[in-house]
Amino acid sequence: MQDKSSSSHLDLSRSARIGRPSQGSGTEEMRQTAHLLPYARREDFQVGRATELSGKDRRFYRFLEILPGVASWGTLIGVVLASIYAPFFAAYFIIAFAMYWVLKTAFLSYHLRYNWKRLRHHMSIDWGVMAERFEYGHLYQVVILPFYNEPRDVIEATLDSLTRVKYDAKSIIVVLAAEERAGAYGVEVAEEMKNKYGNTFANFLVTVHPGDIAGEVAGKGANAAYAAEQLRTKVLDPHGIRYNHTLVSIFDIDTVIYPDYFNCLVWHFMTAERPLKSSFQPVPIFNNNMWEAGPFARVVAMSSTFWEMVQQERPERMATFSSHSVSFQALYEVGYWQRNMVSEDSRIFWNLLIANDGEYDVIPLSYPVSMDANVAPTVWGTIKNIYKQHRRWTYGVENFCYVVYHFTKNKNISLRKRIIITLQQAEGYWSLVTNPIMLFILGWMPIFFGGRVFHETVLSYNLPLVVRNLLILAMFGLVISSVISLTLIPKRPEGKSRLHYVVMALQWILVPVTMIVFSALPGLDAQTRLMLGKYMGFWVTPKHRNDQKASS
Amino acid sequence: MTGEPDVQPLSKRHRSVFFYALFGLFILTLPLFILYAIGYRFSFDGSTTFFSTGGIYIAADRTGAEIYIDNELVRETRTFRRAFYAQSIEPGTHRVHVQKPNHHTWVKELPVYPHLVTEAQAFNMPLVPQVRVISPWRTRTGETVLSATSSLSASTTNDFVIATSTATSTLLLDTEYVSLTALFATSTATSSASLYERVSSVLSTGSAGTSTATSTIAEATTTKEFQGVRLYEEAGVVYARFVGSRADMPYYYCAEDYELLGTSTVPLLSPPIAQSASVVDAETEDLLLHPVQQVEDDTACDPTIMINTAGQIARTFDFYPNSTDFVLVALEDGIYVIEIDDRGWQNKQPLVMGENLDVRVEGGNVYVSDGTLLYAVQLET
Repeated sequence: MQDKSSSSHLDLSRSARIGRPSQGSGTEEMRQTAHLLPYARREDFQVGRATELSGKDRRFYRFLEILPGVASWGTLIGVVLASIYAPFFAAYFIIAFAMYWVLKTAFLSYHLRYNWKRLRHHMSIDWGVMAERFEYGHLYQVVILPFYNEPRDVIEATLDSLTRVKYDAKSIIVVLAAEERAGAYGVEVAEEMKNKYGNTFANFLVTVHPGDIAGEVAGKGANAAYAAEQLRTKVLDPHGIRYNHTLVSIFDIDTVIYPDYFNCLVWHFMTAERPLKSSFQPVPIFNNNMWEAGPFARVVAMSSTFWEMVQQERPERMATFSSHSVSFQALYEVGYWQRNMVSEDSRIFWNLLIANDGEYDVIPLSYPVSMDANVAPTVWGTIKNIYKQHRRWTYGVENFCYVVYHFTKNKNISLRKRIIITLQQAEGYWSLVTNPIMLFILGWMPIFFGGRVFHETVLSYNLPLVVRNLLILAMFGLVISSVISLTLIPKRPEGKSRLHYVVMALQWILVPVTMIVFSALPGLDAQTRLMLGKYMGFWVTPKHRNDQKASS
Repeated sequence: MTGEPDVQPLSKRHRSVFFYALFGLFILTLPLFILYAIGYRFSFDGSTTFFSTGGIYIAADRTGAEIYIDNELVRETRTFRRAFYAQSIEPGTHRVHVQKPNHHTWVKELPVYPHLVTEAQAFNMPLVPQVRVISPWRTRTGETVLSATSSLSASTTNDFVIATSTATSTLLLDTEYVSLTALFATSTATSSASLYERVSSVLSTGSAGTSTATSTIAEATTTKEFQGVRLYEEAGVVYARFVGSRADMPYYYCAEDYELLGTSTVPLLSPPIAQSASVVDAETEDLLLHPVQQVEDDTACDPTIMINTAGQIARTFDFYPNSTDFVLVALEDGIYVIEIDDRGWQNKQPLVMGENLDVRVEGGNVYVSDGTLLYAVQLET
């Protein structure tokens, strides 16, 4: 296969708005949207923010944007006010909440430990043998790698890992998706990679996402959607590759895949109840540069991994996150990833769920992909980058507005499912922001603001003791985290002392700090921005590795 | 190879069972945690009932002190653990004492009410106070030069030399002494001498004894105010009055009367009340909004406490540095620290003993004058 326009800048304004033409004749519009699922043909299907709507819909969407911030701020301010005006009630609430936290920790630790067991088992399986019972030679694996200005060695490590997979390389199509905004560097490095790896795979397509497409939020979603359409028109259609025979894996550029990833994916695809109505979620382990990262970066990175591991054991609560795989057919039916918002990795799942009237799944692979922990050259730089990265992730609260908005429109989805998902999402975004602050800061408020009558009581004195003891109990969950994290780090490089293992085990005492600084505060920041209509753009996480050798 | 991984995803059934088990645990244990936090305790003596308890919070001012409740050692204070909160205390009157070797012992009998915590601030002054002598002159090497003998019962912390002549040409004037002399002069109504005259007087005095003998007793007339507490004198008696926000008022200003242990063999307050679980439930509902033992309406009380000087006239008085709980009072036979808290009685401990002493507090330090020399009293030991 040949890529004839690997670096051409085609005017894809049509495909940029594919599925959602706002102008033109009715016939033309029908032709453009014919491939979309019926619900996905709505003009508001890929709405990104309230300002893209009008009338009642706009007001309702705006209300939904305001709701999470108001709920979180209301809770936090409510706890402070209750501490002042109803300190006894606040104290009972805090004790109940601390207890709930202990049990929640136990509940999540149970899931985490189980998934760790399953992850290790999956890593020990020869998935190639497992998949032998299926006829899958017709399947193509497409790997889309959007990038901005990440270092050469990061891109190279990712492509190197692709060359080492236990899968027929001639069934793999690589799409290296550069950004015009990144200047000459992007095109230059993409071409360089194509020259180096082009002959290894079935096809190596380089796309350059134009920087001036109206209506887009500059970011991964817009780039990936552009690359997907380029793939369709430049590779799949010309070579007659069927969309339902094409599995697309969209990976962050620092994603190093494990050798059996595609075999594992194929097995799950072939055994899925409805493979074309499913996304496949690996476990992102942020450990490529774990030995260069500091304790804060390691704890935050591993916490993100653990959260995904927990979710793997309760797939009904899952949405896709970061690197994941999905059939091209499914993507094409909803017009690819949204180009007008930040958290496109999760949004694509909600697009698919809603367009398929609720009949869509996320299938956990319990198989890892390795990514970079957020590391900058300085500690302060690392802290700032982690904060910004998590603010972007927690800006995923924009999905709450999208989901609830469309749940009121698409009545084909069962009411029960709509209610459950709405409550799960609301609780998730609310607890993300409020729980750490309530536990570690506001829990002490009645003691300071409770007034003289409250201060005289045994309850006032016992409140910090009871809460402290419950939190210590909850911290035992961190022991599990500590043990599991040690098994997930790459082999110790030469020159790194064994003492690092001790530090890596003890670093988990930082969790109360990281929960507030890198989870609650960026989450509150993101929700406040959405509440005030100060919409966020896509912030590209800088990739930095001291050691150019990435683990695999 | 069976075609399926051996480890299957966690089944919904397992997850549900675990979830409901934890939920049940939450429902069952939460009331127990709340009852515990309020001050209820479970009786294991066979009656299997809950009973009400209170607490005592004692703050000590020194490390290495021992806190006793009802003659039982409960805490030895350390640098970051100078206070102790005792919970599960039966309602009634309890004797608390705080002691430290070579220090005066603080003793108090305190009332404990159900579901409430009784607070008290203890203090332990050293038996032999340590002072730094400040004289008008220093040698060029910085040593204090004494030309008078001290009348204080204290040990000194600084080196000094005894002046063998009245010649001062080889000595340096101690600027600290000069400034402190001015401090003592500002509110000493009986002295009209200039600084030069006072310094000269000290230099020409042979001993402290001659100086103190000629001193006159001056009544305190100053009013002091610190963090909402006002100290004032009326007819030779010193009073402490809380003038700040009632919300910040220490409990002892409007404390209820209670019977001391020495006057009754039975605690005045109710003994631990054995209650059936159903009674506790009814009370618990009430406790959601307010404590069992309501604090008295203190707006009706007069938050004024007399400082007990045992009949002696206070020459001067001031707050003990950085404290609104203790008062420094210069009495006829020495400088005393007296607590304002008059529950039961007021503990009174000598800071330094000596006749006709005067005291000033400046910059968190306590300075004493015997009319001849000045002394900086070392407060932390």
